[in-house]
Amino acid sequence: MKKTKNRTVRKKKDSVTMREKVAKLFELPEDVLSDRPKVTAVGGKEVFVENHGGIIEFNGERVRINSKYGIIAITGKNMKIREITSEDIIIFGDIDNIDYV
Amino acid sequence: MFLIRLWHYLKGYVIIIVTGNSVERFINICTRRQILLWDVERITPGSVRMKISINGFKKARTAARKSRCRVRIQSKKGLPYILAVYKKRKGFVAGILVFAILVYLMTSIIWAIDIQGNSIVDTGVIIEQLNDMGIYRGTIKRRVNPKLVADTLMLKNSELSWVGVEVKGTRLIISVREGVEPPVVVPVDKPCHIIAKRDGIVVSVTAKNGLALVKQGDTIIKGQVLISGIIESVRPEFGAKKVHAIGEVMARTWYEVKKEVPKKETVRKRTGNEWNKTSVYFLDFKIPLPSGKNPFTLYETIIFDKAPVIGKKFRLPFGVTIHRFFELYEEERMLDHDQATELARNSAETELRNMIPEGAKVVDKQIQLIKEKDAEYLIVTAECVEDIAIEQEIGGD
Repeated sequence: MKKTKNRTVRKKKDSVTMREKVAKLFELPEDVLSDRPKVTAVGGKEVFVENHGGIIEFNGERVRINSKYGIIAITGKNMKIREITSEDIIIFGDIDNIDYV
Repeated sequence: MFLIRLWHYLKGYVIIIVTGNSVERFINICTRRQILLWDVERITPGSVRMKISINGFKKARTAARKSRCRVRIQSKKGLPYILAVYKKRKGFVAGILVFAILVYLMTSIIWAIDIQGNSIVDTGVIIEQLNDMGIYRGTIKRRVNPKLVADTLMLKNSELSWVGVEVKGTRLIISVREGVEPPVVVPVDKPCHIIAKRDGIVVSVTAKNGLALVKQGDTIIKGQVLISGIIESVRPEFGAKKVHAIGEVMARTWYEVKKEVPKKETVRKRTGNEWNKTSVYFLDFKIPLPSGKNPFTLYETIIFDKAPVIGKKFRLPFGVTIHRFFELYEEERMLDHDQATELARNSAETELRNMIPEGAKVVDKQIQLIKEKDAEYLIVTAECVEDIAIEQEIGGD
C-alpha cells in the first residue's frame, strides 16, 4: 500500500511558481522541479518527506517538519528519524496521522 | 539497507547523545551543513541519541555550540576504531602483511616439475627442453603458457603422441603419452617386395598382390624375398610389371635361451643394523648435516624426502632428505639339483618372453638339459608361428 500526498498548502504562496511553469512547458513531472514538499507513506510504518525545511519538533509521539508551504505534523508512537539529510527525512515508527497545518 | 549499514561500518561512526532545549535546532544546523544523521531517537524529553559519521562529528562541534547543546559520545563504532588499535602494533601489522605477501609469492612460483608417462623419452631430455623454454624450478606460474609448452614438446619429440601440461598448485605436471613409432611403410603407390623378417619355415602364404615365391614347407632365411613385386609377363616382349606386393606369410620360428644351472646361490640379507644420514634441502641446494661416516661395507640404501605439504597441492620447496643405510651380509647356499633347475628355468623363460615379438603365437616349448665339462646348461626353446612379412622397396630402375 503506497499513497502519495502532493496537496499544496495554500498559505505562503498560492500562485504557480516559475519553476512549475517551466516544468509544465517541458512536460516534466511536476515534483521534479517544484519545491513543494513530497510526502510518501509506506504501510503506516515509514514516511519519506522530501523538500523539507528542517524539523521544528521531534519526539517519539510527534514530529513536526517545516516546509515552504507550511508545517507537516506526523503523530504516532515510537517514532524515530531513520535518516535526515538536507533533501529528505525518513521517519520510522507506528504512524497514526499526517497533517498539514 | 544492509549495504548502507556496511558502508557506515567501514567508514566508522559515533553514537552521540545530545542534551539541551533545542535539539531540533542542532539537527537542523547539521542537515544544512550536509552532515548525515541517522537513527535519531529521543530517549528523555531533554536528550536525543543519534548516529553520526566521524567526519560529521568533527563538524558538528560548532553546531552544538550554536544550538547550546551538550554532545556526549556514547560509543565509537566501525572499522577505523578497530584499526586504530592495530596502529600501535606496527610490527604485528607488518608481520601479517609480510606473511600474506610471502604466501602469495611462494604459491605463485613453480616449485616442482613432474613428468609422467614417459619411458622412451628421457625425463632429463624433457627437463632440458623445458629449461630452454625458460621453465625451471622457481619460474613464476603466470609465465608458463601450458598450450605453448605442450606444442613445443610435441614438436621437439616425435616419439610423443600427446602432451598434457597442467599447473596444479605449485607443481607443473607434464603428462605424456608415447606412441609406438610406426614401422617404415612403403607408400601404396610405390612397388615393393615382401621379404622375411627372420629365419623360419613357411606355414602359409597369402599373396594379395604380387607373385608368391615360396610355398608351404620352404625354409627361409632372413631377408629372403617371399612375395615378389615384379611380375614377369607370360610373353617376354611385354616386359615385367612392378606392383606393390601385399601379403601375409606365416612361418614357424624358433627362439632359444641357454642358461647355466647354478650350483650355489648368494643371498643378501639385512643384519638389522641401520644408520641414517640426514640432509636439509632447499630447492636444489642440499646441506648435509654432520653425521659421521657410513660404518657399513655392504649395505643397501633407501632415500626418502620429508617435506611439509600445505593441503594436498602445495609442496614447500624445502625439507629433509634421509638416506637410510641397512647393513647386509652375504650368505652362500648350496642348491640341490631341482631347485637350481627351477631357478635357471625361471630366468630363461623370462628372457624368452622378452625375445618373442608381439603377435607371435607360441606353439611348442622344449626344455633341455645338457652337460658340458663340469657345468650344466639348460636350454629353453620356443616354437612360434608368426607373420614374418615386411615390405621392402624395389630399389633402382
